[in-house]
Amino acid sequence: MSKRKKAAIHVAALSIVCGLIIWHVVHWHSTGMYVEMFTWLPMGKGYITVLYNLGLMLVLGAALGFLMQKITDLFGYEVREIQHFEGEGTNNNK
Amino acid sequence: MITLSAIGIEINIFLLVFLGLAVGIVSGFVGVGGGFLMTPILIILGFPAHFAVGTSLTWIVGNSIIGTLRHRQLGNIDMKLGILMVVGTICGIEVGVRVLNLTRNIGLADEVVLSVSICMLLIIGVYTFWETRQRKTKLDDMLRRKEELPPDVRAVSISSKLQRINIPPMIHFAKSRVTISLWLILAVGFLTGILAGLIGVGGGIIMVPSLIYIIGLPSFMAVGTDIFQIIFSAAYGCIRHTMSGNVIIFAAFIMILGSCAGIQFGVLATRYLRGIAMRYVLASTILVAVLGSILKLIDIISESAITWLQTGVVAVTFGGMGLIMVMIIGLFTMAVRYRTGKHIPIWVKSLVAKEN
Repeated sequence: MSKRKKAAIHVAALSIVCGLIIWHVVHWHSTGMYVEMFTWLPMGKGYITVLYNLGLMLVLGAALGFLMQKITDLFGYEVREIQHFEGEGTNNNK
Repeated sequence: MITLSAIGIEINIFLLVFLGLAVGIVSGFVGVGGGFLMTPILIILGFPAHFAVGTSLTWIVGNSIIGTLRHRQLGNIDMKLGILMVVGTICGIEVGVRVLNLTRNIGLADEVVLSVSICMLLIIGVYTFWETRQRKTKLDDMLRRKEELPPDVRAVSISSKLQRINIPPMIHFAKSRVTISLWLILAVGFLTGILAGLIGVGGGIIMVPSLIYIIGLPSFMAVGTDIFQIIFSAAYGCIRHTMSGNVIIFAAFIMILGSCAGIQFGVLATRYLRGIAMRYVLASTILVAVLGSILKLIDIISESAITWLQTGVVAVTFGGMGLIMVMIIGLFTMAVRYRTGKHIPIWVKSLVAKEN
């Protein structure tokens, strides 16, 4: 399978994941679930809110990060490592 | 328009997406979390201050993960160093916050702490600007003599002296080719954390220059390593603020949809530019933060609300963000022109990378 075809499959799969997360967040916002979560804090159930907020950011960040990587792969944009130490050993690094 | 019922405000959804995009560009290129820009902007938009801090910290968690994934691809992250630094930083931030509370309790006014912080930020900003300027002058002279520019190199003036301090255990970081005492790493993380805790920012604008000048990392590796360690320090802040009920998760979510594109641009721009270009933008970023802190200081000193001060805060916040964005996009455009063989001014040539 070619690299771009592989990237296209990854993009499709990650788009579905991101879409589901977006649908979930919009749904919970519109049903007032997030406002209700505030009321959990004084009831000693704050850890659920903490886990949810942190989990959402971690999952969404990872999903969007990988999606962006795969989109650039799909476009054929090659991301190579930067040569940080090319100039080491010359007189110009002092 | 969306309604954020928890704080009772209505806000334009596209404005939040644009903010995420703009601050994401700065964050990806300079390696800062972006809280020092995002927090005041959210306050200007009507968020209560504690909600602005909590929401921007939560957004930074997701934003830094996206940035870390891309920086990792570019080989810009030294994970081992990042993890060790974060231990010192989190302890430092905690101490900084406690020192701030203690100084308030013993009657030492906020303005004293803020003045000290401004002086320290000013020193870091001016040193970064001065060092970068010197390096650029050297490169410009070579260009005028029609000499080939050397590859990008790290700034080693202070770090080489510190690396000679032999306090065991000495740790070798293969990725960044640095051997340095563990205690020095923890101390740098701790001190920058204290300063960050005192000023009330995430620490990126202090940490990046520390990694470049004190630890001796190449500029873009400092950017990537800092973004990586920000995940942990921001997550710590996110947990604390969520427990206090200071997070509007829906706003953080909207902003991350914008920043996922912005941060890609910021990170990928590092492939096209030299380390000194980043250090110029970093120095400007620090000086914008200094200006913001000075306005905060005036606000504390003056007892009544001053109209020009409010205008000043808006001008510095949006103007600063605009200036930094224009610098990054402008430099990137010049770099692309240079690579495609088009003419660019001679003074820009020393800022752009030929190939990466």
